[in-house]
Amino acid sequence: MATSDEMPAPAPESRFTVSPLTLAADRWMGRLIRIGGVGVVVAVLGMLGFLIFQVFPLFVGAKVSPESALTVPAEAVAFGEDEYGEFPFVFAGTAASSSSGPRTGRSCSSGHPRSAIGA
Amino acid sequence: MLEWTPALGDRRVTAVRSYPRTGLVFLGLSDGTVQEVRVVYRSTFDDAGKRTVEPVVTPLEPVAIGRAGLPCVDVWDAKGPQSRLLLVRQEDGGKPLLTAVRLTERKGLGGKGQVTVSAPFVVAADAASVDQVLLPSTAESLLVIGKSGEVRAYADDGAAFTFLQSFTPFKGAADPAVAAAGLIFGNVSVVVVDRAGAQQVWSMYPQLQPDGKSLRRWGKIHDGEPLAGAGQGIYAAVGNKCYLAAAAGRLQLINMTTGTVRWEGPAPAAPLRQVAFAGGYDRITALTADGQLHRWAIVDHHPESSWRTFFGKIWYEGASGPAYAWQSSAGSDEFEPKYSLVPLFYGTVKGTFYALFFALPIALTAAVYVSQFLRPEYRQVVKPVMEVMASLPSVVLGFLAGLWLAPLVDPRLVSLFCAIGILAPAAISAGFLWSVLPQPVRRQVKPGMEFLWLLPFLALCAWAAWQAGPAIESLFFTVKDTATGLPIADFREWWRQTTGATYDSRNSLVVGFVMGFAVIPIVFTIAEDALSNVPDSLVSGSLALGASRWQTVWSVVVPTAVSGIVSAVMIGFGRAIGETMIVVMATGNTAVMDLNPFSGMRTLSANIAVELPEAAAGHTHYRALFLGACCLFLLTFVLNTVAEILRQRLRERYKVV
Repeated sequence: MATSDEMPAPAPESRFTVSPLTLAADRWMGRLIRIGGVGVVVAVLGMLGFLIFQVFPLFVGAKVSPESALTVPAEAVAFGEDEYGEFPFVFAGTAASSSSGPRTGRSCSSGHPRSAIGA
Repeated sequence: MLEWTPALGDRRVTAVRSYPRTGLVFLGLSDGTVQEVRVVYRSTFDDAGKRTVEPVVTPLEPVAIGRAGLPCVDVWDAKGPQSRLLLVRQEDGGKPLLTAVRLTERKGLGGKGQVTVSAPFVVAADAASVDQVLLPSTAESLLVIGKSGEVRAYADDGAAFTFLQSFTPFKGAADPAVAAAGLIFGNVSVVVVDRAGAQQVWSMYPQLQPDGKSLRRWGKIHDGEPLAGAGQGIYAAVGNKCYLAAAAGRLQLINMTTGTVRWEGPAPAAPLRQVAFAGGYDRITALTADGQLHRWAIVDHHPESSWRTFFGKIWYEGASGPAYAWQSSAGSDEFEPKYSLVPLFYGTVKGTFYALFFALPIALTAAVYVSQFLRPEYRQVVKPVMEVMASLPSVVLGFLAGLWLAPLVDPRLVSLFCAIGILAPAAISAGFLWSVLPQPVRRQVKPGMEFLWLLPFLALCAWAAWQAGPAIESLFFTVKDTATGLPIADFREWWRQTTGATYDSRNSLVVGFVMGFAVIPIVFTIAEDALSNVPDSLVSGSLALGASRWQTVWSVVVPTAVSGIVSAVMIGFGRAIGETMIVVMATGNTAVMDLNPFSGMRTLSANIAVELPEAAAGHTHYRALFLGACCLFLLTFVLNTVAEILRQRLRERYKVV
């Protein structure tokens, strides 16, 4: 039986070379995985951010700001207004504020506050 | 500009009270009569669409109320369920005199209603002095505050105002006089301020009387933050529990429920004559003594919210004491919303505890058995079956729990306890008996096939225990029926009478039992994977050194796989804590804080599922639900982080490669 002392033919160089396509795919998949991982973290933190955004107004105090001041008779003792506060009226002229009684003075007046302020 | 002058003849106006939101003005006249004046705004639009608003003033006929000849000092109006009440205050020789009439309007199907005026009747005649009078808008009661600081409460019994109770809010103070007081929206709470600025809130709630009866009486529920000086006025908002307190040149917008100061600012220089909130809580109007009508715009979308609202113990109106409560809605606008998340946390922890209490022992021991003792051919069947169990929709489990299991278990609770309780001792006994059997007998069964004998034995024991349940119930749980007086064997009634606690059909045990079914497959699968992945070389080494199979499992396999087991437990925990549908359908959803295993509960997740569809977007209720979600998120985030750290440490400690 014949034996051969010949060494096997060396493998071609390309046998150990990684295909550029494989390297590119590997690189892109690595990036994709990284983006996916970061995306998951961002999504979770985004959910937390959205929840905090919804909840934050609960812990904000009230804001009260002067809107207008309408000059009315100094003897006015009571007022009323419509639902939207556009037409307030005052009642002026009780015995306490006017000794002559309401018949002689203005008792109930109504007017738009803005026009009165502008006047 | 419209000017109107009442035609009063020889009479003069001596008192005025205006109710701004209704457009009603009541003029107290010098002869003791009261004239009602109605101001109505009529809007018209021209062809160009321009709106013109015309105020129309309609005076009604004066009504004789007070003692003739005495001028009215003050006048009030309130609308009760059956009639309206007109109340006047007069001074008779320096002594206060309060007189009232009822106006009843009978309306037919058509035509104008006819108003009947009752005969005048004296109110609070026993009051020594009258400094302030608070008449609720419902006219069901009356508070008269005397100059000495004593508050006398009267209740309308249909005919007259009968004395109910008297109390002195600042009793013991150097000056007990009440400087300012105001009823809060809803008419069951009153805020009182003394001359030093001390604030108190009193409310009506059930109180035990000396005769043993529980009656609604006034009692102090809050001590508010002291104001800067003597109270000058308390003005209640409409639609919520806020009020404006005026003191020492400062204005404070305060929420009565929480005591939180929502806003603070300077008051007008001149004294306030009248202050009113707009119905939408977006505007305050104040009339001052210098003839200025001030207006402030309010932006306060969540007046009832604060840290205390969500996490603090609060004494709510009508309650007998401070409590953590969740009750987001009711049938009335005057209701005080309760948004405490604490009972929801409690329910979440309770539900999770019972679920894990059932699930963990079963899932972990099953994982150990399947991975280490069961023959591989059976393992190949058992594991996929368990994984299929994990895919069962929780709504199906919840449906089964609420509509099938709970009614089934309810009358046979003792039987169920007996059947479950017998399993562990029966299994241990079977193991012991197996170990003392002679070797020839034991060799008849292949190793790993012992369960084929054990299962029928356990089933038999469970069946026998189930059947013995009624006998055990009649032996140990017989009580006297409260309805008939006869002895009955009923565990539920025994539980109520013995512990004083409630028994609900949909309770923690049912939900824990069914949630356990949801959690078991997940914990089992992951734990079994961790245990199966322990290198065979470790197991072989242990067995070769003479350890038994059990010693090998306990001392080698479990410590090596402990990080995976912790992961399994934490994933099961996450499933249990966030479980929604089972809890919604099987707990009754009562937000109670009760250790009792036979009571219901409400969890954070179930609360969101139940209430979010009915919450108005942007409302406090809506955002409170999001706060619950936020807390749930943080809770699971923190616990999972801790578990991950623990898992990493255990893995470092028991790593084998």
